[in-house]
Amino acid sequence: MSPDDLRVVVVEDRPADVELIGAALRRDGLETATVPVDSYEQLAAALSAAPDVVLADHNVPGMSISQVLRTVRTSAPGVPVIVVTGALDDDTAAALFEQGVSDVLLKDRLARLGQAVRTAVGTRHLEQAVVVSHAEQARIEGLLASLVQHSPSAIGLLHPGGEEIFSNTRFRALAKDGHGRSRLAAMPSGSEHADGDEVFLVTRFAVSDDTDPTAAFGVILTDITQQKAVQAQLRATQAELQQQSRELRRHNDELQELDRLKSDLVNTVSHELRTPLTSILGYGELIEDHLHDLGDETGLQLLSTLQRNSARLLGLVENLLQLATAEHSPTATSSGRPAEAGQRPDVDVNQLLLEACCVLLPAAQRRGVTMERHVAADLPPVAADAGQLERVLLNLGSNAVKFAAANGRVVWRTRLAGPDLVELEVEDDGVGIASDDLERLGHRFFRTESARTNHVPGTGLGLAVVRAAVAGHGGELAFASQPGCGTRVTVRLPVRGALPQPPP
Amino acid sequence: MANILVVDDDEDICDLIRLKLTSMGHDVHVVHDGAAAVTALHDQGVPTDLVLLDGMMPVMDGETTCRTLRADPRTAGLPVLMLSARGTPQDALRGRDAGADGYIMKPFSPRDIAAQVVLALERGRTPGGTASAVPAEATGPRAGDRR
Repeated sequence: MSPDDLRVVVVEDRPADVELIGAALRRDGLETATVPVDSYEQLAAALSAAPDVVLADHNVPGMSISQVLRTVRTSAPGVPVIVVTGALDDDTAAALFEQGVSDVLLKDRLARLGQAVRTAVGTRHLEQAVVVSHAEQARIEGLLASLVQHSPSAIGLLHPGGEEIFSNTRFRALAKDGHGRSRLAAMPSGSEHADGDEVFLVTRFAVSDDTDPTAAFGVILTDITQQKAVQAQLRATQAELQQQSRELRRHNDELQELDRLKSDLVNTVSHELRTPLTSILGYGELIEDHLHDLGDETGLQLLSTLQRNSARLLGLVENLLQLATAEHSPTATSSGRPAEAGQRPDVDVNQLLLEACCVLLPAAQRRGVTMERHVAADLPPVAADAGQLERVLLNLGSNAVKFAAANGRVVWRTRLAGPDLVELEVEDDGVGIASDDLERLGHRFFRTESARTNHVPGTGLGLAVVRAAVAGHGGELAFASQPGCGTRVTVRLPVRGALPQPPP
Repeated sequence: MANILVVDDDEDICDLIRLKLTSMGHDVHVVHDGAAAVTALHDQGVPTDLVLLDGMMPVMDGETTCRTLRADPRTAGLPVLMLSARGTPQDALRGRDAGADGYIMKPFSPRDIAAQVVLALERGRTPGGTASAVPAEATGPRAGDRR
């Protein structure tokens, strides 16, 4: 017997008939586990095993069909009973159906037995399902009611006229009275309802029945007290941030304006200084020619000091001007106007170095410093601002001469460091730079400890100009130094100049 | 020797140039703004072989003055060297755009000026420059002296 087999209780005293019934069911393709009974005790026992169907002979000695039916109804309610009988008249059949029999069959027409059993069992299953579904529905209805009742939101179901159909306790608590309920019922969706410290968001929607899409309407009030508080906080924070942002922008604008004014001022002052400097240096030269003609050596010596200091002042002015323009825009030329690399003229670095050395020579001679140049003959021209590059050479050279050992030497080297990279190096044999100071080289107005303690003249602008100019040409600047052993500065410049930089 | 017109609003600079150039044997005439230079050349017929023109001046600046001179057939071919305290490659380009033949940055040394003046007088204005559009008979005053 498999679990799928139909459990059939056969109330029959004759084994041959039991066999007959079993054969009829098998013929019809039904696998059955048949339990024959011929007494009420046996029947009761068989029924306790929850059979699927009972097939009862109408005439079993010692048993009445009515009693069999009653026993089934009480012991196994719902189990269908099919009566199998040798002979039958209409009245008996009607009486049997009245007593709840599922079907009545004649023993000599058992061909229909399988179908009858199937129908009876199927009907019972349906009935059972309906019972189950009714119970489930009731349970779900209970859950729904509980859901509504215990919902943290206030829920009301109302007639179109506003009379309440149903509401939960929260809704009733908010409505307070009939007047309050009418007020809630009239509130449009999206509006807010305040109750003490609490705030509720109103949702109002049509509720349909089978025929009328607006048979009623629902009102749900959701507690948004916390959200409102968070929202208010967010708004306050946002306003604060906006205020800060505005202030930052204003500060930034002010700083930019200040920076522009500073650059303009430095520009103007530098330009204005050039004119009197032209006169100072120019008249100095005329006096020099004059003193030469007179052979006045003392006068010439006094004049040379005046000229040297005028030249120093001019160098300072040039550095200020370079710094003002270079800092204002990294790609700017010394005119302060942006220029693309392609517009920059080709500059012969070796030639520029020669000219710079000529300018530096008097200062070097005064300190007894010799200058050597080792230049690469195959150096390609560099797309550069010649004025800026000249300042780079003059400033680096002036430092090297100033910090070289007395009667020491300064060595210049140029070389091709890559297919498109020109390298320029200047090395002195002087005091060197402490490693702490190395990092801060090139910051405006920064001067090394040794420069200050040794009273080496300077402003702290020279390397700032170098740094800005080299950066403006897309180049690199490197320092190598050990205190007491001298300093080597290396400048690498791309041959094609700075790449066009994206606007800030 | 040549007649040279010096145009600069700074009197000391004017004197400096005049002292140097007269020591070389040149005749120097000085005015202090561009408009005065134009008047001297166009209306007063001041004999001039070369103009030294400052860039930043009141009334009429150097570039405008240079353009004005170039636009008039009488002075279109006159050599002009510009002086400027702004001294940047861009300024030099602007001066050339205005029609100047050369550009001297301030601060300059009197020796520089002397050398540049000699070069400019020797070179004159080459054909094919701005002056090429001007008919040969309409060159500047005393243009014939400059050779």
